[in-house]
Amino acid sequence: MHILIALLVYDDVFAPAIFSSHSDNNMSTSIGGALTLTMMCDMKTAPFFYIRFTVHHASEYRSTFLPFTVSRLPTYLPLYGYSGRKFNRTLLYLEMSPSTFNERFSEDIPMSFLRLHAPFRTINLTKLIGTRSLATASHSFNSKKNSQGNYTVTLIPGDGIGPEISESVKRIYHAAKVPIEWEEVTVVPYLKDGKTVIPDAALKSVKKNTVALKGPLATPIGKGHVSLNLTLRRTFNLFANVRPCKSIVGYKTVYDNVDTVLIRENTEGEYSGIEHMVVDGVVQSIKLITKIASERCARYAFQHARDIGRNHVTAVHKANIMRMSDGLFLDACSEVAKDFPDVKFDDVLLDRACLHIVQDPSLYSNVVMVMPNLYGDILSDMCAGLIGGLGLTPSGNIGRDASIFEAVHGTAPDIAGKDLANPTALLLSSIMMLRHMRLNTYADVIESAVLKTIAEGKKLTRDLGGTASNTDFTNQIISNLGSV
Amino acid sequence: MLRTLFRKHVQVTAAGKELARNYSTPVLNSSTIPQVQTSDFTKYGGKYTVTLIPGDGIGQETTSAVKTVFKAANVPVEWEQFDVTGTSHEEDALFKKSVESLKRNNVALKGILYTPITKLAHSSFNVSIRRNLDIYASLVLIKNVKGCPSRHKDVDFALIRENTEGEYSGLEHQSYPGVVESLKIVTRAKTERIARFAFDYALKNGRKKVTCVHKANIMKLGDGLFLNTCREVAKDYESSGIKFEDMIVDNCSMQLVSKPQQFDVMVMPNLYGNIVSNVGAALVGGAGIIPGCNIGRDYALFEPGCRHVGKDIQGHNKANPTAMILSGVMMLRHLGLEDHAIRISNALYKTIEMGSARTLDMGGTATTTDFTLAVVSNL
Repeated sequence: MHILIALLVYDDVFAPAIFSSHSDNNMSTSIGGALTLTMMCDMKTAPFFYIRFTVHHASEYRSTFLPFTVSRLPTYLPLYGYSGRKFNRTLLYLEMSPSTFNERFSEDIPMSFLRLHAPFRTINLTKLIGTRSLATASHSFNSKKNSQGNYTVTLIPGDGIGPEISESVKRIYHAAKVPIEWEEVTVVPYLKDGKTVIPDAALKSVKKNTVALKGPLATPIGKGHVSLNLTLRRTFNLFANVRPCKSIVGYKTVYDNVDTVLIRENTEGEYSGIEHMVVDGVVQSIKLITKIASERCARYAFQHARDIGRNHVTAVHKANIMRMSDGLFLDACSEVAKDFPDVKFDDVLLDRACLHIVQDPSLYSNVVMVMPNLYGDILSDMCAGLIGGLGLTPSGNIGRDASIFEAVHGTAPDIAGKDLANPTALLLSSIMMLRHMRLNTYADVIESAVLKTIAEGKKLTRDLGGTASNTDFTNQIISNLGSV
Repeated sequence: MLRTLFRKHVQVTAAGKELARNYSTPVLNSSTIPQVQTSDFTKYGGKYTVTLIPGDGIGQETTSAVKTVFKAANVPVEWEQFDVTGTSHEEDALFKKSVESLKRNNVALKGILYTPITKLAHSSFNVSIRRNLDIYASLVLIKNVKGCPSRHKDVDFALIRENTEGEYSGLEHQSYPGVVESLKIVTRAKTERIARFAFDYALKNGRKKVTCVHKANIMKLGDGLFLNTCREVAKDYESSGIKFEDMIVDNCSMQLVSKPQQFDVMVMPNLYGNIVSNVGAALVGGAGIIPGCNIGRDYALFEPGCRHVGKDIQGHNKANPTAMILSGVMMLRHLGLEDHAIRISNALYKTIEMGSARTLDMGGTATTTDFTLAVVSNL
């Protein structure tokens, strides 16, 4: 589900503008659960529609909706698109005064939106809409609890050690009484019309739950199969990959002050897959950079920076050589930066970033880095190397239709089924997921239990230098749950 | 050595002919340099003429350190200096002059020229020299220097990077507003010569293993061609006992920061070289101590291995001239001035080991001048 929420401030008036690019003509959208809007829309012309909004349309609509006051707002409010016109030329929004807004919505609409426009001031409407892309706020989690008061989350255990470490996560979550019900699916791919696709059940489940946790997957070897990760990225429009790396007490590496957060554009760049051999021995690979993808990734980076309390975003690029492509990425970032006046923005050349991170990672401990696909791929694994490898790093893929949190390490077929695997990466990823779902208290409890277990060093799996089995390690975490 | 991949084809292309003549002639270890090579260089009155482009940022400071040290060591080198800068457009003419000088002298010592990021500015002078003169191989030596603080120990590898194509092709276009395509070019001919350069380098310097760094799992054709060509070339060197390995670039960067001791000689396309050289530099103590050179068929260009302009510390007399001096030493070896090279590098290593004049990046407070004078006194 894709929602764009814009808050417009006119002196003393808040106006959340809401529209959506869902392919369905009729859709319901809930903002933080308090307000549900139904819109009629014709989204065939997406994704370029957002550029076309003008103040003119907005003023039309302002008058249309002026009669609405907050007291009259029902919990279910049908809003219909401007009849006789295509939806892509209209702007729907509601108005209310700041005091009523605070009263009614401050709890339900994420704080980040409020902070965005504080202090109250007039914002040029054309500008605001123009710089907003499809991606805005689409990643915010807004699924509902089921009748038992639990959220359903899709679990893709994966291959190799995947089922074992997924079992560990499930046991720990059960012990911590996290309000989550798992819906297990497999994503063994098959070829449909020459394309690699995942089974319908998995597709439906992830789309419905909008959140999934995924173990490591092995891509079947054979002609025609695109890597499964790539397939998932495309299926669910997972546009940003978030890779935090933090030094873990109890596992010593030569670096002990790592705390990096890296956001990688996930859909294009060098991974566009457009390549051809011009003549024998001469190959062209195309790196594709688009404004839309760069912008939505950048926007997520800024929002994420706010959410985790870092007020500095750094774009990593190579625009001195790749003037146009990386230049476009950089431009998109600096344009988005204008919407986030409270977040500092700067850029750094890729070579400098590499040098500085490896020399002194603490230089990047208060920054969110954002970069195109390939650089992100290399740097995120490098940062993982600083703290001890992929077995200790979480990863989250934020998307338009869903967000998938995963362990990025391999399937380790050599130790599969022997109860030797280390579930830390999947656990840490699941903790990212909990924070995404705003279940922060559970996330904190489980995180401290995991970190405590590793710091104690009593029951460690082999890769961490211990002798314990996965089960022992998991039990230890569970017993530490109570003590934190 | 002459059995190239191109022999399979009936019609030999121009590039193929060139290849058959084997690009990879230059070697840095003087004991294996054929004596005849010295005659290539411009030499008047017993002195070699070398083009000097100090570059922007810390370039003036570090090259003047080289000049001071060379003078003190009575090195028979005369400089032809060009103060080119990348910060303004007006320098175009001077830049052309410096390139002509390099063409005359065949050898140059160069700092890094600044490249503006704005779209309207000139394209990178650094890239333009390498591409126009086909200076195709970049060699960067990453090695722990005794006395220089670093997190990792026993790191010693050589990094060989293709310098003229790949992501730095400069071919980009906007097919629709907001949609940009940037071409990465990989050719078999250029890959083969860089691979041969790497293997020859390994052979002549007693190295045991060549690792090809790539991303062929994603760029199946482009990096696939690079990898397969390297594999083909590797077969020619099997009997010499040089092992060949390949590694995906993201894994490689992870291995570098955790177990850098496993690498010996690495060969890779342009952009990955940029990343790996900087990661490598950071492992052993920073960009200030990493020498490098760029070798083509006709020209040799010596410049620090990590190509940083260093604008932030420009003019503070704080820069570490080690990278530039060591690049100069590599140049002396290239010119066949082995005695001078040994004398200067010994003095330099001694200075760093003694630790009496450490520059800022090595944890000291000495200025560039202090450091240079210390090297001179150790000569």
